[in-house]
Amino acid sequence: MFGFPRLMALLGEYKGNMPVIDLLLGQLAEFTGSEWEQEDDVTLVTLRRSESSGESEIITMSTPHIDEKPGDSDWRVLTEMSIASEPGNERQAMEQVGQAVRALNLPERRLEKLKTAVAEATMNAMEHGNKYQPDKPVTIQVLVSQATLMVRIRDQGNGKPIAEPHTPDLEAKLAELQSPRGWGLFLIKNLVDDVHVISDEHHHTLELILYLEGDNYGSKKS
Amino acid sequence: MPQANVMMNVRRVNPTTSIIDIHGDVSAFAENVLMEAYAEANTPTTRTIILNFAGLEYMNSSGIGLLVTLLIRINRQKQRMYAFGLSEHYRHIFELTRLSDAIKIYENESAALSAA
Repeated sequence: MFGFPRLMALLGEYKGNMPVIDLLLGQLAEFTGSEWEQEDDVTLVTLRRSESSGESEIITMSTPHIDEKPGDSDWRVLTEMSIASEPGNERQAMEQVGQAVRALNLPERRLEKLKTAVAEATMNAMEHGNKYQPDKPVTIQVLVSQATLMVRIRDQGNGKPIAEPHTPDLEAKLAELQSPRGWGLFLIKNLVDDVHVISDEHHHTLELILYLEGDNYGSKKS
Repeated sequence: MPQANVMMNVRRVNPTTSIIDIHGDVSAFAENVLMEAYAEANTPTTRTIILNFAGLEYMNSSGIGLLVTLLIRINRQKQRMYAFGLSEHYRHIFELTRLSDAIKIYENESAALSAA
């Protein structure tokens, strides 16, 4: 059992160099190993108190799927950012993510695909999650392990489930049977190797996955 | 609401063909600019509208939606839409969305004009 003593020891040693939830999930993945099959949900909650303002922020996260590949317990945060929910700000997000992953030397095509997926996911988060309220930022984390790059994009969607849109069908759109819009999630799913959608009481989170090696590397080549 | 970061220049190269040169971003903010460019490009004798994407800096899903809207208008007029100047990345986007089935893509302007 992972147990409270281990949890308390980890928190006691925590130096604040990465989000505490990421630290704990990484340790959990290392503890269980890659063969472990998760049967129940794992939900972690942190309470952060700001000394300067006295304000508190609660961050809740259900288990992300970072235990899918062996060796993925060792996550490193490349960058974290907060983007105001204003039309057009997705460009800022995609450029900053592009800068953050520069050291990984991704092939140009994969980098372009990632940037477009980040822009689309950020736009969805600003529009559908945060309703373009500038005081509700979209938070973006870029994490890398030996085998995987993950961009985690989170809005404050109040836990409403993310509706799965119709698969866009160009013929239906040209026949005016579907809206001309509605391409965002389709693009995201087709431009990165994997997408995880996580909803909890306060947030929607999209995890965009690019595999850096292994059988799934560049699995969305088409 | 940010301003549209896009400029479009219309060239009526002959009575049946017009080219719209796109410079900048094709996003939701480009709607008025694109539709005004089409209105300028469209004459009673126009049969082919060619979009020049060589100056495209960024296109998102809203921009793709705009192209679909433009395609609907063009189809109603029994016209055709061609394109050239797309980067490899946006060619891939056109293939994914199957826009490349509805908009013939050419390597360059002379190839598009020859086919028009």
